Amino acid sequence: MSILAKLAWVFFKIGLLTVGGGLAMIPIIQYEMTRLGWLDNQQFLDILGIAEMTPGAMSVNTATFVGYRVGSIAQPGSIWMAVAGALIGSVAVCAPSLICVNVFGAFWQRNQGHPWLSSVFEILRPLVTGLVITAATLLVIEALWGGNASALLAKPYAPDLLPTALVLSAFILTAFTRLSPVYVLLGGAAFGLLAGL
Amino acid sequence: MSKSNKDVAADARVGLGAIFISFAKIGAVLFGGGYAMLPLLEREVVNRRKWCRFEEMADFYAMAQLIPGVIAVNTSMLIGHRLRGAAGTLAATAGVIFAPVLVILAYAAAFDRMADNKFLLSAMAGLRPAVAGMMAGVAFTMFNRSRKTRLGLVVSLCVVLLVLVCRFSAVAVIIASLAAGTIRYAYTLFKLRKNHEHLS
Repeated sequence: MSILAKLAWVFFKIGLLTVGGGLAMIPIIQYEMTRLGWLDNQQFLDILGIAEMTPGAMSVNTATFVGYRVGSIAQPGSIWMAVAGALIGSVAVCAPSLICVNVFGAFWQRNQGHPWLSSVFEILRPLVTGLVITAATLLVIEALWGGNASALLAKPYAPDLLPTALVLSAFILTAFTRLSPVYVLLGGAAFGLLAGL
Repeated sequence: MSKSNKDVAADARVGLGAIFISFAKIGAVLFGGGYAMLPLLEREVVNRRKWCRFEEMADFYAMAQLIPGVIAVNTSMLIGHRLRGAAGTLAATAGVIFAPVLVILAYAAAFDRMADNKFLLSAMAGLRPAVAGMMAGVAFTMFNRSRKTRLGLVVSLCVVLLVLVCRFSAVAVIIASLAAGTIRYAYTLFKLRKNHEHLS
């Protein structure tokens, strides 16, 4: 099997096996990458960090990065093969969902307004609220106390001033104004840059 | 950035280019995982384009958790599918991964020269709390919406208890609530039939 076909198959499999989002993908990607020798653990951690710092989903970012490297293994020195590899990896990791959505979406549209689905979604809607509250809590702890919830519970301590001010202003701007979230995020990055100078 | 009234017409066929551009805009600022996507989606898809209502978007988002793959990409695909079927899923997917793929390509080409960049690191130090605060704002707004019904209040608080405090996986909670919704439906059917028997 050509290495590019293998790349497509591995990321298709990763996309298929992941239910519940990118975090669930991490151990699967790590296992596959080290097994195939495409990334070692250090490189894997680096790409995780970069994926977090750049826009987009972690697993798609990893697929793009690994695809680029595999493409350059397939034909050393060729930037086009590398770019082709990056595209193959990115598309392959999305392909299983693409298939499922087209099957599932057709079902959803035929049955929209069915009392069974309404009954289910009356519960799913507040459930998403609960998941968002959970994610927000974890992200705030991460931003203010470096994610160390257990140490914080054992001995509470005050967070740094700048992140606290940024969390509070982002909260107020999002909850009580109609300012686009894009400006909230850009503003945060700009304050970070200023503080770093 | 203003839009004409005729685009808002509910039955107007949405262009594939418009789907691609909208999701490309969302993908370019998608930091902090799938959950951070909701306010971006609300702004672009619900408020600006008026492609669906907020509740519908939240339904797609809930469904996206059940489909294999990345939640942000799945949500985009489901909205694309709602607008233009299979072609819409392709346009939405291509859009939402467009900017991230370009950025990672640039990084892969430059490799570890960028990772220790001082400016990038300090921008990230400001970006992370902004993402967190934004998410807290979204959680606040969504909770205000959900707590209006007793079912909504109970379910949202229970989910926080189960996932945040008891560390249950989100997938398990979603599957349980699918079951709960089905049982609730069966119960209403049962009650309806019983009332019917009483009457006849």
